[in-house]
Amino acid sequence: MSAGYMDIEGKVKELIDRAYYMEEGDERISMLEEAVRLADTTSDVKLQYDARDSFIEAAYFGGVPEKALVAYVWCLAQYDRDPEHFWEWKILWRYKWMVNVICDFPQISKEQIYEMLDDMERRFRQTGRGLRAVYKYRYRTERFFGNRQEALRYYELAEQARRDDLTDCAACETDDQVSYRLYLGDDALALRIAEPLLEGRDKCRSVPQRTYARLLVPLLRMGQPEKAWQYHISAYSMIATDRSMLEYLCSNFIFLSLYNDLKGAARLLEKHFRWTEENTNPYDRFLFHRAAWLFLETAQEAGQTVLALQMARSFPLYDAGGSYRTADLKDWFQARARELAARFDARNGTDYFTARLLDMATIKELKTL
Amino acid sequence: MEYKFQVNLGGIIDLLSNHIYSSPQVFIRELLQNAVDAITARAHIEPSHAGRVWIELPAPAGGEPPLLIFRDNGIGLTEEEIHRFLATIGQTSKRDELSGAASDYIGQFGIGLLSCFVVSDEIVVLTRSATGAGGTTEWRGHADGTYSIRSVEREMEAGTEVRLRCKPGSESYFRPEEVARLAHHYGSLLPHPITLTTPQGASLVNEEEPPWKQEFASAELERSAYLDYGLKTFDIDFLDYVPLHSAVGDVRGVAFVLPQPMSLASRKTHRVYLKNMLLSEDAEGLLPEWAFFVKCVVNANDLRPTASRESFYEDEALQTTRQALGRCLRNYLMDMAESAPQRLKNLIALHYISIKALAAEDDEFFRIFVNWLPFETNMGTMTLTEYRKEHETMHYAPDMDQFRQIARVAASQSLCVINAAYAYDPQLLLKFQDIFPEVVFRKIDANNLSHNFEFLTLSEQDEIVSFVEAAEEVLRPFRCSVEVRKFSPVDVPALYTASNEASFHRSIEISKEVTDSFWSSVLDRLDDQSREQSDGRLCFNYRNPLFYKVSRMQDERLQRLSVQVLYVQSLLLGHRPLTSKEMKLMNEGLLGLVEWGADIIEGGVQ
Repeated sequence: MSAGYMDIEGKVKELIDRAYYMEEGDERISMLEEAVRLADTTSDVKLQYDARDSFIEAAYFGGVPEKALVAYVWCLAQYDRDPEHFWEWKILWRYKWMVNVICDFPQISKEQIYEMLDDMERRFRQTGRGLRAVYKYRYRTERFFGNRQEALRYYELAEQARRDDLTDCAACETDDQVSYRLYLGDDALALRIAEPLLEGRDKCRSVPQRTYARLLVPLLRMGQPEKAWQYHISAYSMIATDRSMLEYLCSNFIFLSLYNDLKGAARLLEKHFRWTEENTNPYDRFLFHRAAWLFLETAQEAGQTVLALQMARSFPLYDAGGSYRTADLKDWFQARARELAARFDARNGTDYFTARLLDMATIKELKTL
Repeated sequence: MEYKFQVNLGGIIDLLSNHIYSSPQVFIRELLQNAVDAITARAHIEPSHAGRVWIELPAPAGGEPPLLIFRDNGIGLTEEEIHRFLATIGQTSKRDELSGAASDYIGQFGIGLLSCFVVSDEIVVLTRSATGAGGTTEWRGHADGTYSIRSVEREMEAGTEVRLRCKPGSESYFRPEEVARLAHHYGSLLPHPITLTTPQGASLVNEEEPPWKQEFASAELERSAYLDYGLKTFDIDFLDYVPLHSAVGDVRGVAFVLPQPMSLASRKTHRVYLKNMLLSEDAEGLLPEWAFFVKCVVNANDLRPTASRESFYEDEALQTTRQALGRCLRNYLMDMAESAPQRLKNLIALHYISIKALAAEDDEFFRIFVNWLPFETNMGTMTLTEYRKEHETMHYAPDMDQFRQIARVAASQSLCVINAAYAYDPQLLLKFQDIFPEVVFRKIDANNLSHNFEFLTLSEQDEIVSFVEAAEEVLRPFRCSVEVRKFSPVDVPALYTASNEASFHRSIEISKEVTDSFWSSVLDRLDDQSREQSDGRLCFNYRNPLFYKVSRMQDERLQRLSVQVLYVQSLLLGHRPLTSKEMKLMNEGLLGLVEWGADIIEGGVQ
């Protein structure tokens, strides 16, 4: 029995080590899923915790955050039972990921989301941390819901709060400022603030690709399509294989339609549609369907009534010959986007998501010729 | 009224040494860079000028700290230029002031000389300009931010000499072996001769040209020169080499084929030079993602480095370069498929993952390589082409878990199943379908495998009615349904099957066991409510002798205990972790059986 345990422990640790150096993605996730499964056949809580801890990261950055959450809940419970045994900082840092992604699931109620944020705040306070990160995530949540006043209030509070070891990294903080200025409608200032990121002076795991992506449409608004194209190239090459960045990839998708690179947009649709199916994150799906809708409408207006596309076989309208009526596709994506918008709005108690669909008409005006 | 900030030079130096550069030794790189840039500038006004660089470590004079002298015959500086360039932080004689485009020069950030303060408290620069008539000027800069300038009576060729006196603690950077190593490390590809003179004698640092700059009399000579270069550079005996070039970025170099398989996991880093000066030993992102079977040495004359000078800036030029380098590797493989199939076979045995990655994104490549790429099946490794010759329908298992569950059972039914759990395999199978639409593909998991199991006859069903009822009752709390079929191999008493959603549900159950009601309610929301009533199915094997006995047991309690143990055993066979409920079930089952066995023995003794 004990020899068997040693084998499993060794195997679990080996899987964790190997996964550590891997690129994000399915293989890394399934390797760590295996590590968790094996660890769970032992009674070694520490081993189970370590396997899950690695798994959480892989699942979160690999585009399956709901799996990350399930594992996180387990870890948090073990941490609460025996706080001396586990690393406090890490479990708190991971908490930010969880609140960051929880809104993306409309089946989670508003009350549950607020309770999570309260719980996070309580834990930050109890361990003597500042509330900068907590306010940041409250801001993001309110912004997500479409509660503008509340969002602005929390952003102010975040800016006033001190930085500490649970504050996001410098590159992320700058990117947050960029995003905030864009939210306020100050494109020019956002672009100026983004400069150190765009030049590669400050970077991290997800910046500057996030920054590039979020500036694409604003740059068109500012009449700088060539710069936008450059940023599109940079952003896309960095996130084309990163499922956790699907949200940002949708900006590339929108950009290509506006830039009138309909071929490029079609290729993006072919290539990444599968992600929205395999990925259960409804918010990502909403954004992708919304962008697809814009693309299809643009194609239609350009007189392309039929499109040749290599869609995944699982696509409900799949055609083996790869020929699709643009109008059919548009209807399909439009209906899915509306359906999701309605679900989000029902949960959020606002009409922000429906409004974001309507906004596409304004965004379409930015089309370059 | 305008004021100027007082900048604390000591602080700046500290920042530089701790933050911008990865280590103090880069002062050698910066000095080399300054020298080469000065030579480039002189070549603009004197095209035939032959640039040279000298590094000298004089024998230490009684108790004095070591001295390092760095000299070039480049453009030199006039006194006025010294004031302008050497005294102003963040500006060197490189940007706009000198002739030629800014991109002719290596240094772009104008902090080169400052990095010397990291190893020396005083920098002495002696210089004479090649442009003017002026004599030799001496500049002395101190780490506290002060400097002095004077004309000196010294005959000197046009050029610049930098003298560094070792500061306490930096002795290791002034050791002859270390200076030689660093000069070679950074400057081995530089086009101008660099002479190093130490008390032991003089030698040329960059004697040898990289192989891609040489001409060879024969293919064999070329091959051995490249592989020697690889061995010397990386201390690895490479399998093969591929010359690399890209017009965009002005890139030349070589990719070495690694002699061991690389996992997706390992970092793929390369040794890159910018304008022949070493930029980084572990640059990433130079090659397309799939190309992880090689390690490269590459010089780029026209790519932009990042501010930290550790890799290239991610822009369109880099992207185009990456594609061009990828094409070099792709052509290499395609040529080999044509001309040296046996060598390709050996290479694929080592590096099939990398090659699969390319095939997954490149149709034309895929069509050729599909005949070569190995896939794991429950009947051994084979290519898709080989598989197709033997089997009409292609069966594959979507993940490792499913594959493991069904491998044996499927094999005993002569069903050859591809394990499509590995990276790129699912994409390649999809591609195969696209290219050969007539091939029928079937995803197979334990669920649909068991659909093919033979049904029982009516009379056989009648025999086991009471068993099925009892088993259903035992397993209902575990959301597991019960079935009895006939299947091979006969030594498997029962097969447990679960869907992917069920696995997710299972992980939720495990988390819910330890968490509180709030988190449980959150997890419940994530759990797909529309999922089928049962999570799993336990399919008993009517042909299995043990099952045969259990199904006919008269003792109801004993039968229940046996079902419990069979259920848990089939979970364990599928490497599924047990929930605490199942653990309890196993304990009850095992202990119950032991007790029953003990009773019998006791009964026998009596």
